[in-house]
Amino acid sequence: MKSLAFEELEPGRVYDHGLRRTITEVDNVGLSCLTQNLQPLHIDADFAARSRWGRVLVDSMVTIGVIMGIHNLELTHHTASGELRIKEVKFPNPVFHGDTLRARTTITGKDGGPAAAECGAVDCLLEGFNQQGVLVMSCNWTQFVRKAG
Amino acid sequence: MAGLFYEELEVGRTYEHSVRRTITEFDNVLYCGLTMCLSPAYLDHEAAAKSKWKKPLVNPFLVLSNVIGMHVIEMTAGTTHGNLGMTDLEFPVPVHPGDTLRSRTTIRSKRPSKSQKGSGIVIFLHEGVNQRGEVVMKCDRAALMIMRDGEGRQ
Repeated sequence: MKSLAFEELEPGRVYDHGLRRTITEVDNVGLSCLTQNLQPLHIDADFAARSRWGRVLVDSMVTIGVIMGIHNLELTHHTASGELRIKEVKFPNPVFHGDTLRARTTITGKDGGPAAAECGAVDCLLEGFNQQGVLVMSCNWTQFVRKAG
Repeated sequence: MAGLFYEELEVGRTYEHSVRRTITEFDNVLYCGLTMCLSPAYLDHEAAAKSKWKKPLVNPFLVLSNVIGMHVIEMTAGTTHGNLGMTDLEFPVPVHPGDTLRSRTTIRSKRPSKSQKGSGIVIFLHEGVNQRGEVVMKCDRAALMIMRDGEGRQ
């Protein structure tokens, strides 16, 4: 899949990403434990069954990682510098094992900075949805993307 | 459970977490694999050698996950309904495989939830710090925390 350079990312453009991903128990328990997130809601099925959720809740850090991964794969995996900042992330609805997530990117702005700069700033709204179309994550962020130049 | 209930979180207090962690290349490659991230900036030593850092970066979302993860066992294990979101998330200093991170959390503010009885919204400032004492990540995070006698207490 071809990555897009700074010049190719046009404000106003919406990308509905084709790659989807079912979030499995391996993803959630594996990544939670890999990152010291020993929250019983994420790793203790008995505790989680008695919580308000009634079952294991997927760690929101897993959700953001996978949604970012889908975005990165389809738009900027070769052109992203790795530098970024996030203005706001929201997790309005829960994700559970077996949910299938898809992602949508809207380019909301960009700033090329000095002409000689290797990268420019691209502002995006990145949204994640489950299989019912329910919004599970929204993120307003800026990433630094290489120029074609 | 080792987490703190809503009433126990003191506004203005900073908690230095005892969990530290060297972020290894294994962590970085495994994380990128599981989240389908293919960026050469994180995965390709040859490409990374030509970047301004001269070596691979750790995926910033792995840095975020670790810094948030490190506070859980001491602050929110069993005492939260979940994460509502984050604001002003920055990565001021890059992290490379082999760096050792620790985490600290400051309670910015708290208020009882209007819609969810027995719980309150707490704003945490999370900071990740490397072995040189540099802040590598910071963000404000809102969580729905359970009160001592709140629904969901176990």
